[in-house]
Amino acid sequence: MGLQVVRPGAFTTIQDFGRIKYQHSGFSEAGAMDHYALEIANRLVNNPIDEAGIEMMLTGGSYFFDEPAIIAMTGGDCQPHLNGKKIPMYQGVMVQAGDQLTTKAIKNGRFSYLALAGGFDLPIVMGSRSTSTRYLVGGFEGKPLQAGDELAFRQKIDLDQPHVLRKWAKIIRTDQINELTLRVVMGPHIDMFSADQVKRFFGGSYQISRQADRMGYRLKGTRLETEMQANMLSEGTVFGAIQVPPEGQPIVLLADRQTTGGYPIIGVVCTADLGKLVQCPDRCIIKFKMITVKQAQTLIRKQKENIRVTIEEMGTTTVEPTDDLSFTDVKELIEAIDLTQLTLFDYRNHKSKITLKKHSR
Amino acid sequence: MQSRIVPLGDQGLQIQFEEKLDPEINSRVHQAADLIMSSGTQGIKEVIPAFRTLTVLYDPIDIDFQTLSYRLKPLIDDIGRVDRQTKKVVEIPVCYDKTFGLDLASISMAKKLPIDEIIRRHSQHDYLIYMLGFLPGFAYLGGLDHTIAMPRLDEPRIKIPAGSVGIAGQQTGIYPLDSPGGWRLIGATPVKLFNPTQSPHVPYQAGDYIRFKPIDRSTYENIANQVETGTYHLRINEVKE
Repeated sequence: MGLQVVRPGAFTTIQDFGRIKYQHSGFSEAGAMDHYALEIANRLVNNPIDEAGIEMMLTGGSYFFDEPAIIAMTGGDCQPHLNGKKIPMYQGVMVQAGDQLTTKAIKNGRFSYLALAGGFDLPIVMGSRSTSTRYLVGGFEGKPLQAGDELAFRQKIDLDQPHVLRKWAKIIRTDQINELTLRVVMGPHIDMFSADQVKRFFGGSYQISRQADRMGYRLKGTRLETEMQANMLSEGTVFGAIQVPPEGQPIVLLADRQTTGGYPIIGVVCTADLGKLVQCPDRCIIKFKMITVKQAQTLIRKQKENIRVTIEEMGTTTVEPTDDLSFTDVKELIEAIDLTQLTLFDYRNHKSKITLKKHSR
Repeated sequence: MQSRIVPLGDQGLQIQFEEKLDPEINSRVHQAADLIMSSGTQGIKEVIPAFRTLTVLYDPIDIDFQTLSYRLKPLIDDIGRVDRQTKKVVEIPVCYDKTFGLDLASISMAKKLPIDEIIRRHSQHDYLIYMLGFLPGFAYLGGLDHTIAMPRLDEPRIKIPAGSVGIAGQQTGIYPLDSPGGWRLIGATPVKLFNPTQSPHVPYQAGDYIRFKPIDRSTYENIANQVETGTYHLRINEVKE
């Protein structure tokens, strides 16, 4: 088996980099809300950067492992504990068969990620393992994880081999963020807003309202007016597009957005800042700053390069094989003895001792 | 031809044609989509055709906006007036029974037309699929007979079952999934509009046509059973323009 969900948390789904190639047929992109965090988690366990991991939203959960695994957790701090003992975020952690991972409410963020070395054994549906709960596609049966769901692993961890555990070399900000400036590329419908409204938007302050989910975040703050939007024809949407409906409060479209929309787009948050936006706490003040598409593309290239360099500088520790009997070892031992005529079996090495005794029926 | 390329963030761009709901302009969008997807241009991930725009999604690590626009420009300039010999018409069976067509009676009253006539006028056209969006397999169809056109309901329904066929303004369409909605319902199709595990995932593409074929209640049940067992196949006709 692999991992069993004991307590799923409010909305926990399997996500990779999304179902990109079917948006022309109306299938939402889906995928991780914070690609940056999922990429780092995957790199920490030596996966391809777009491998599917577990995405947790706002609340924590609990997971039982009956197979050893190497995991890494990133994104908002979900205060992970292994068998009741705190484990660090942003580094590879060795999990033994029989261990229980518990996470708590996510601090300073909205989404946390768990990457598993080798990935989960889940089908690729239309090019992706991402969960689209709206139409039950991908992930684990198209739904958020439920208690009792069992996720198998694609790779077995061989405990007789040494394993390298990676650690993210950068300092992770854990203090509270009070203000965030997001850089925005001017949208295709900027001419549907008067110069004065554009100024209001870039000078205004916003917060994320309670209407915030994987489809999008409705903002609250400086109200905007648009011109001639009643008869606008629907158009394709992108991750980070800021659309302005008639009532004047902008909505940022995110992973589960509809593929097309009919509200004018004043700007698009640059890809390098999407992680910050997605993780932004509701108290935090958001301001927007206009940049050119060229600057935005330089930023995303730099960010990708920074991840690569940081990974190369990463500290590693090596876990050597131990003589400890694992949960799986004991289970296998019991099964083996059960098949024999033996009624009593003793095993010991310099660290552990085990006695198996068969009761006659 | 009039078109322009504008950025849509740093991972997308939009090719805009004239801002008009027009089959001719829409066909340029689909030609552009085909040309771009078959051009093998580096960095392109997906295109989303809409009424009069084509959204192109690309990887900014592979290619920057300026270079990509420069490569796409000649492709778009090549688009001429369509001279297609045939069009693809997908036949969608629709049961206009009053158990599905909850608003048929009120439309009949408002339009002073018998229900049979409303059904006839709804099912006698080939509707152009301008674009797919909103939900998987949801087709934006143009060309509803204006004599049966009605505005949306003042109060949207909380739940409209998948397969419901409705009209709203100049549009008609099919709900691919249970969803809330304000369209006036005139019938239902037993056909599933999307299938994630079987290719093609959606039985039609933007640029194709849909024709509604009236069926009775027992045919509806029959087809529904065939859909359930995977033995139903839609009829698709190649028709001369």
